[in-house]
Amino acid sequence: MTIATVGDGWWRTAAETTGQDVTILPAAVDAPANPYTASAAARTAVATRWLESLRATPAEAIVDNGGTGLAFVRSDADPTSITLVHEHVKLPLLSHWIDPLVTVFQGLAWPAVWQCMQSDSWYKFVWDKPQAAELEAFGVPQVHHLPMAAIDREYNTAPLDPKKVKHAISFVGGQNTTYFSPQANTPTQSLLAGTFAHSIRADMPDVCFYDIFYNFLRPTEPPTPDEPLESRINKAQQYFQHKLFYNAMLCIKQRDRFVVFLKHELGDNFALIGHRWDQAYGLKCEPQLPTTDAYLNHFRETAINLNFVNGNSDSGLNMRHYEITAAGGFMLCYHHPELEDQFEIGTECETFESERELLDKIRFYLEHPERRIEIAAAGQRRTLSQHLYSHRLKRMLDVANVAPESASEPDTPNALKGAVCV
Amino acid sequence: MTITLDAAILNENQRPADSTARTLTIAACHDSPFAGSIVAAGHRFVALPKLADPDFNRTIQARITDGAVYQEFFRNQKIDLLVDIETTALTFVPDAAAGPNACAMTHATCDVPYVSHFVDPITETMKNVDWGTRWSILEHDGWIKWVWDDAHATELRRLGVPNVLSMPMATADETHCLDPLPENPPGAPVAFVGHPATSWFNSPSVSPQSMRIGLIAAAAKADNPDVTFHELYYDYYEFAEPPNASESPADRAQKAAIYFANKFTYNVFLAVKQRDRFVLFLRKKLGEQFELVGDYWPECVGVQHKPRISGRAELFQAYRDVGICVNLYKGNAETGLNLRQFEVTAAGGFLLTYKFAELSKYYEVGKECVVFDSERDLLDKIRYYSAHPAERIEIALAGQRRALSQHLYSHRIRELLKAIRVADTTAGNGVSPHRTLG
Repeated sequence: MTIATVGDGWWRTAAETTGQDVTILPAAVDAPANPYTASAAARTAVATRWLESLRATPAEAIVDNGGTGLAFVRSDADPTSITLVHEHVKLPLLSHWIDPLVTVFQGLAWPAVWQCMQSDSWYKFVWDKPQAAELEAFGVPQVHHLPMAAIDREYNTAPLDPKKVKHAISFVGGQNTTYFSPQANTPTQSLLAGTFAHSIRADMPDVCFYDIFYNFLRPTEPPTPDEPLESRINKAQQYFQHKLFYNAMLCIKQRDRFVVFLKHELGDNFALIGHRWDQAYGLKCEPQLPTTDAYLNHFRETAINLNFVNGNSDSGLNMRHYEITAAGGFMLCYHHPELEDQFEIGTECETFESERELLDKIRFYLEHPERRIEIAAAGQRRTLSQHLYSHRLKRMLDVANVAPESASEPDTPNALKGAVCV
Repeated sequence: MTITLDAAILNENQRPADSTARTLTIAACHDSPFAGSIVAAGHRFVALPKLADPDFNRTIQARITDGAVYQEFFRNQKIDLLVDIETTALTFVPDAAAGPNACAMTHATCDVPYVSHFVDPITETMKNVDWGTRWSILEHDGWIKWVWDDAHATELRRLGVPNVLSMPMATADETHCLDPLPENPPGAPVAFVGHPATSWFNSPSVSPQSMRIGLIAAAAKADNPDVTFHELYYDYYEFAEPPNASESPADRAQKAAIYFANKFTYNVFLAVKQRDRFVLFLRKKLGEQFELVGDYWPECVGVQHKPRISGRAELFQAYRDVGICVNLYKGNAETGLNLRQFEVTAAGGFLLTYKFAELSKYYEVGKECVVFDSERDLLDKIRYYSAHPAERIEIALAGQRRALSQHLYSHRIRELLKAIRVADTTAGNGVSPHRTLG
């Protein structure tokens, strides 16, 4: 079986690990540019190369990260009409999203994105359960939940050596919201839904934004499956605009506050590696690690690796959960709903829920290196046996195979005609 | 304008002498809720002269005009104690000896101890007085600030405000119906009486950066419900150092201003968390079975309501007529109970209230009132107590016994007179008082 991957990333190694042949399709936007910014024009231009490549090396599926496999073929007969490349070549497109919808299609017009997402042969694997559920609620077909994972590669599986600890406590990650930048000014009304959602979730953390927005605030009726697509698109746009502040505050709740707190509490004993902390909060931080080896090795040379999930995730784990554990590092992370689906908490990683508990656990594990080492080894075993991208690829292919009629005879939505501004 | 205040008056020979033993003459506004309670506490009530505009937000100039009226009154009456709500009776008189534009607190010039009872944050009063002057008045130890909320009292002390007394609100001493509630309430099954906790979302725009500290505190509060803003601000996150006595008055006032500016967003968050969300929820879930009484709900949250009830007898009857009186807190309270808590229970109504830190200090939860801590819990409790009228009636009676025996303003007046002895012995332990406002 041959898998076509967009770019030479973790899906190539995952496919190779699972014994598949791989053909690499070039990205619509050349590195180091952000692939999420690919415009309709870039996605149309690259399609020609993809068609050539797929003609030369036929594949059974296209696999991408974040919808970078969405590309367009113009109709020769009608230049205003387009089809999606994967539909054109009658292949399933398997996209894994590790960022929200509003982030991954920055280069495309909102209505175009939503019309494209109606494709039944496009399998959208979303890392976060509430975000998968909200896409389904807006009528997007083939949405599946699939967590992130660690890259398939060689990992050092030797037990941690406490003598090689270089950092007592560390967090690797950036300050990722510009919502609070000094120049920003925002309508106060736009904060209402997010404030309500966080107020309610303070007492009921299992309630998601979608439920609060539609079952509670209900500025409009929730979308229904038989509703015209244009109406659903408009509702989705309104919904995600209201969600913006919710995500910004989630960033503060799940990441920023703990970084600020620990810098004040621990000073230089807390190694902060990532961008923008100095600009946003005036905190001393170190630049990002230069290579993947340096990145993974850092986790092994740090006694306690902290993990704070970003503001774009309600319940799903981030890459760092898998990277720290795959590297064999000891992970102490903010409690996150999907964590217990993936790891045995207290045995394979540790969690905290508040500032006090964070400090308590840091003290405890600094004083008990043997427990740290034991947990790190168990965490590594779990990730290397269950949470690599090769494991995820198997699941994606399984899911795609259970809908052969969609994959083999993809729909060509008429609504796409003229929808994408190239 | 420069105002020079006198030295502290709550020293050993100027406090209400033998305050717990003899009948004192206590002055308050003519329409004060304290009037009947002062008498019920065994003391003599004297009404202050009526003022043209006793607004607690009036200007210093207006308070100087009022000062002449009060000074004459204090000289003609032997007043042992002056009490008011939120500085309505705080006035000034010119103090020529201290300078050409200097003023003194009127009560102090006449050796009258003065206590002001705050049922909202101190920063919500004297709004037409510039912040520096306002803060200097608050820093003066010549009066007692009786604050209803423990967290607010502690933050004021940390900010250097002396003579802060933390004591809950209560309800005025009035006649209440002591009959058990009827099994079938003649009014709505569920009701809330009050206004929206915030209208901030109707303001045009905001700089998100200005909100960040408040949002960090709000986020931390979600995981640490027992932690208060001043602890998050000063202890957890160390956003600033509290003011100290060695700093200039202007610097101290500036620090306090920054503190409260940062707290604003946190208060908005609490306003939604502690009140507005539940009103919206109840309207959605219960429709017209939920009676909402108050003002401004359509423009703030988009729900319809009945107009406020102005007469106290009508208000108390309304509490008794509905099946379940829901109590929701405003955003400016972190721990302290509101007036409604005491009024509903004193009236003999059945109270279902959002959980609040100080509640268990004053009521036996589950026996004298019932709490909820989420939308689910609220709905469950409404269903349960609607289906169990006997329990509702029993709890309402027990709540009424508690309120009438311990939570009337006459009880607070007695406690206050004891507390003044405590307060004056601790005066001066915080920021050293200063006398010049500029």
